[in-house]
Amino acid sequence: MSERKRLHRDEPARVGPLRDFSKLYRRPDSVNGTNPAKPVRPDAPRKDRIGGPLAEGVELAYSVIEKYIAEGRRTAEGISNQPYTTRAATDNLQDILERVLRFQAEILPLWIETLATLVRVDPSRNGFAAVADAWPRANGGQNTETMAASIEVVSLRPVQVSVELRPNTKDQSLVALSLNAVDSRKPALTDISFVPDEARGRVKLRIRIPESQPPGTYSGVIVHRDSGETRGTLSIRIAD
Amino acid sequence: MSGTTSTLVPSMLREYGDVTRAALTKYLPSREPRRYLYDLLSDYPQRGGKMMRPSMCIAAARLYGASLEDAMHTAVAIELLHNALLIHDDIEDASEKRRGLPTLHVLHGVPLALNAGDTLTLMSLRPLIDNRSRIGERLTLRIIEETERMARECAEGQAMELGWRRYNATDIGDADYLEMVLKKTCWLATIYPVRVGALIGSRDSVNLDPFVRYGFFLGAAFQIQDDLLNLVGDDGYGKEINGDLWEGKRTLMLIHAIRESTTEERRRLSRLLSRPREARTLVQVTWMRKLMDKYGCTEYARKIAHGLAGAALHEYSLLSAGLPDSRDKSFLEQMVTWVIERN
Amino acid sequence: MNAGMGDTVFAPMYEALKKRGVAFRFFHRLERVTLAAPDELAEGERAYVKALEFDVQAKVKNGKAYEPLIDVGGLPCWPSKPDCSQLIDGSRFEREEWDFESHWDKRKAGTKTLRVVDDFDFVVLGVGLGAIPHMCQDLIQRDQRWRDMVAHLKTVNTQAFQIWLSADMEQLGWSDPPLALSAFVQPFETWADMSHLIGEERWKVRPGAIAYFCSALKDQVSPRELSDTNYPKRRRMEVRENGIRYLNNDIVQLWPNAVRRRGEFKWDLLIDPTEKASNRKGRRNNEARFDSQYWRANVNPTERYVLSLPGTQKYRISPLDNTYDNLTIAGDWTTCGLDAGCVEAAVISGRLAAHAISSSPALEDIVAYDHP
Repeated sequence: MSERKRLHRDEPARVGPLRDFSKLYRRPDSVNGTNPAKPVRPDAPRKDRIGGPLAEGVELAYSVIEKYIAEGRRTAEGISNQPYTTRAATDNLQDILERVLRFQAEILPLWIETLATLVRVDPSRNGFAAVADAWPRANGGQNTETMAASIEVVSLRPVQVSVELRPNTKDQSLVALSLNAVDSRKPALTDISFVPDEARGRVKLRIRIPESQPPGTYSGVIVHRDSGETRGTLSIRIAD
Repeated sequence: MSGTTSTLVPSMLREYGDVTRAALTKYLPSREPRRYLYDLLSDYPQRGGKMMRPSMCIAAARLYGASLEDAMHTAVAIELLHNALLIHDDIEDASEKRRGLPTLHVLHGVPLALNAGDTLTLMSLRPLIDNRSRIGERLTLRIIEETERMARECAEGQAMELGWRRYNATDIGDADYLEMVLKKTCWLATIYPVRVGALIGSRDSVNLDPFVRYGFFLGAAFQIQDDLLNLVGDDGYGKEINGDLWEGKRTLMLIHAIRESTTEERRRLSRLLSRPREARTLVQVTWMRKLMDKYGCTEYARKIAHGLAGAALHEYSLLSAGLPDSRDKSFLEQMVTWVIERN
Repeated sequence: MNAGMGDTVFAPMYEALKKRGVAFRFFHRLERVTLAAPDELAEGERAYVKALEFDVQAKVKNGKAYEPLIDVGGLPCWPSKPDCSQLIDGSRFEREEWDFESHWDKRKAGTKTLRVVDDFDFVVLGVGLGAIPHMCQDLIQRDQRWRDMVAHLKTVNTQAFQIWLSADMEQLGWSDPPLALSAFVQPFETWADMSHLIGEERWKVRPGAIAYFCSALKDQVSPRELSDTNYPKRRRMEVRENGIRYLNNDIVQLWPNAVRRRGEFKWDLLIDPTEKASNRKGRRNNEARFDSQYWRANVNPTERYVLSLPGTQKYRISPLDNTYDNLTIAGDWTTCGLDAGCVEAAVISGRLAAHAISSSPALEDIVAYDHP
């Protein structure tokens, strides 16, 4: 056995996860992100005064900044110590939840639905509201049948197509209104149609881009042929 | 403090400045509309500048062991914000020159310049969001919180200063001045850069209050020195001499003059300051200048600036006590003497 | 993931670790984690791992490091067999069919013991839960929580097979988009369309489709003694029978065009990579064609899949647990916030183990560890 000493693990700050809304994105003991240390008193003002303006200026500056820091600390403590049953706390919770929604969206999509429910629900209720309450579904049904469409593009240049269709768009009588660019001098894209794709039992969106079409982004809506009701949007970007 | 001229500060400003400048150009697109917007956005950044703010951010981050890349996005955001504020400042102060060339609103008119300034402010968000992939969600959010705080302080400070001019305030004391400088100048120039730098480097594990003190004293000394240069600067100074006097800017010197002057002089001063800039004459500005010289205002301000620099050094020695020696540690210390001695 | 998890997740991790100077020792089988005896502990000293005993299954020629990966079209991949040409006595291993991954094949070229302080400071125990009872007797004997964990936290064997077909899914009669489907017929209630791998593999004639099937594999009632060295092979044969039966009888529900009639899979759909295109006469057009595909029975203790049965979560132990102050654990069998058998849990757990021995990353920075 060599002379080296055996190393030990450090005691971890905690051994379990935090399950508390209010601590999300804040260090547990921090105040407004900083550790509440005792204010550092500057060395006592020097007895051997150098000269009026300099020393006075420094003292004055210290008094300005210390007052400032203390005020900031008091405000921060006030915010983080509020209990979560008061109305003010509801606003805070809203704030935090919105931050959670923004940042966690990619990671925990299931949680988003639950949290979004809470944002609309009195936070003093225990547990989570049933998820079915959260988003009013179109037609009140639980099913959202999506429509599968194939897309056929005829173009000499690279083209990016974005299409969004409302749920329950089962109907096949769709029409794409002409797509326009922001710059009104560019001609609209009109050779766009929905045709049945019998082989696959779906609808095919056929897009033809004329050779002379200027590059840019063209967008427009997709409507139901008979009712004229908007069922979605279509956007096409033509590269240079 | 010693009077030795530091070569470390200029060389590190150059080093960190070049890296920041290169990274910054990636965030300024070169697409249409160029003449109306994007060329304007890149004008001020391309004119050079000391790059003091982003350099301090990087140095503070490296103090605690972060890499330059960890701080880069934030440094870029700081520089973008700084340039955005310069555009607005020049409009608000009706300045005609910036870094030796005409100001942006003189070149393109106030509306386009104002729009460009607003755009630069908004564009500083993108690098702050890009922090996520480098330093993680938590620190990214913390930095955005710090940025929001800083922007608010900046706006309040600027409002104080402009309000004093608009409403011809003459009963302002040194404490008011310091508070205004703290908010308007120090937060963006010196406090915020080192705070977020230390936040990045230490992963938000150190108390950031000491940086408020260091940044305040340093920034206040910096501002007073800036105001002094405006009165006594030489040809190398990029703005117009006495420009502050023309604007009636409440500098420490002017406040001192107001405080020290006789009743008669104060009355005349107040009348002059109540006039808009366009109505001020060279004779009047020269009289104000002579008044300041009479009461030793520049000497007074210089003493205060030196005192504040001393306080900054003291605070820095406290906060850096446990940190190992490094170029960055020396750089932040020598910044204090540099802001006083520069011209 | 555009290729298998081994190639897209573990290979890059392995390469990144190698670049950072981590030393890997392949062909070492952990046999025992030895704790310091209670009377060896000083006053107030915590229990700790004193030694790790390994069987050295094989040694690499010229004292070099073993290179485990092969290049497939520029992608570093894990081969299905070890490269015996790198090993001393390599041809003997091939001849005698040494199965380095089998729990029942105890053949070795030597042993090695690592001792605390001399050879290591900290241990991250990342073996699968199924192996814990075999190598952690000290921990199990002395620690009630470890006894509870191995008693209550259950694992299960799994079986899987993958086939390469000359027709595409449309032609097989599946007209919906590609997907992963479960709760179908047992065994192989899970089917995952792997056709996206076609571009990554190297075929002279591209397959039309690739399909992967898996499910649990029931334990056999009698315990397997170590001497039962044929056990893995027997279970593998069982999986082969399961696969053939499934393709003959059940796949018709999903792929109507894949069978000639019920009970008869179109075996000529399968692509045999060893077959020469010219040799149509020699083609096996019956069940024997299945042998050209890939299947496995995951019955080794470390391969067993961890379950999250109701009431068992409380028996998991955390990597942050500091009872043994030079040991931490890592794996999807630990309690890590996502207490389920998946690679995500393994990653969170690994990061917790990293925090346990180095305080980095900060716990707040471990994504998905803290959540409401």
